[in-house]
Amino acid sequence: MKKNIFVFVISMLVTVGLIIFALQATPSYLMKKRNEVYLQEAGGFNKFYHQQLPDSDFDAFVSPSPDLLYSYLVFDVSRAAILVEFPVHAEFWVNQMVGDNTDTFAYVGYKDQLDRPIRLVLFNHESPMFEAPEDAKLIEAPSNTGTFLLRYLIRNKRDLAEIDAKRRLVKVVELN
Amino acid sequence: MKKTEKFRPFLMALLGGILGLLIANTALFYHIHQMPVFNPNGWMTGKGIGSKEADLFTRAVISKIGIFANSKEQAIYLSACIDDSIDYKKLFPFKDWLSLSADKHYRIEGNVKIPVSWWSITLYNNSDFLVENPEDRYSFTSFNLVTDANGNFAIDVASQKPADATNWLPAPHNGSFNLKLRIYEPFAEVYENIATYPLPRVKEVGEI
Repeated sequence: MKKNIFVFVISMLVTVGLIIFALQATPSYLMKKRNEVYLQEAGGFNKFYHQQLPDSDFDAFVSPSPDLLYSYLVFDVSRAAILVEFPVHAEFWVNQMVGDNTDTFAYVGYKDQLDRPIRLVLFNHESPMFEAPEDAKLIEAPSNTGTFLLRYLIRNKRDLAEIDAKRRLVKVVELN
Repeated sequence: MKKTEKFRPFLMALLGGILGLLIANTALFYHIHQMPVFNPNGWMTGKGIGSKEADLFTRAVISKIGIFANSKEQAIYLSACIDDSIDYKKLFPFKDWLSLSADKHYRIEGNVKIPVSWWSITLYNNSDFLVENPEDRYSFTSFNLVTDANGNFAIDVASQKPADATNWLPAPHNGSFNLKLRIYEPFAEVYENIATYPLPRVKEVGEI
């Protein structure tokens, strides 16, 4: 009798545990799948992939904003800390930094910018030794890998070519 | 040992597994019903979107439908949800709550001046992609709406352009669609009171 109750309880706990595990693992799994696409498009880690402005032909992901130009970078700071320089742009732009579990750990954007480019260094405890420029903002990543999502507002489609060219001025350097 | 006693541990394991599934499902459905936040002007959002403190279920759902969701201080995402006849506590999935009909004409009315950096309203088909239309118009933002001198506006959402429309957001000719309101860099008075804040009002005008 005792043995049967034990089997019953263990089976119940294992089932609940498996469901909790699946829920826990879902964000990281989906993030990994998404990053595989961006890595392929960008040509590897620590490089930006600049996506076209979403329209009715766009099917890379659901619910895209047609008012934002999206660029992505999948980082791996265990290879090297990275120095990223964002060009000056007075209109709305934001770079969202996301860890491999989908948690956002930092933002930089137009509100942080005065009249010169923003420079940031992304690193963590596994990054090889590096020397950061004095004016760079240091940001510690919570995981070796993760994603930058850069959004630029397109107020008017007439501005698209200009803003598209500007976002491509973003520079990424591995600090070895 | 009787023959039935030999199989009893397997039976108990099966029953334990079923009970485990029931417990997990009950917890999930409880979360589903706790998650939505409704604004009376016809919008719905979810608690904990883009938050590190979100529970397991919310995180899993958001990673599926909007993996790079921002924190509420950066952006709030709302979906039009206007059918008063729906019993929100019983229906699942959320998508069923949010479908608007291509056979109907809707209007969104409000004032462009919401205390935020900017906002947009975008129309998606039932697969959550943008809808092809002759004007390449997929959204309106607080920057490009035609308003009166006081900032008041009306957006007509319909498959055919109404004669008196100043802002026409083209809907598909058949099936269903949904509308999303994105609010960027909202002031605290907006994100802390999203269930009551006077957002633009979505209403049904009639059949087409």
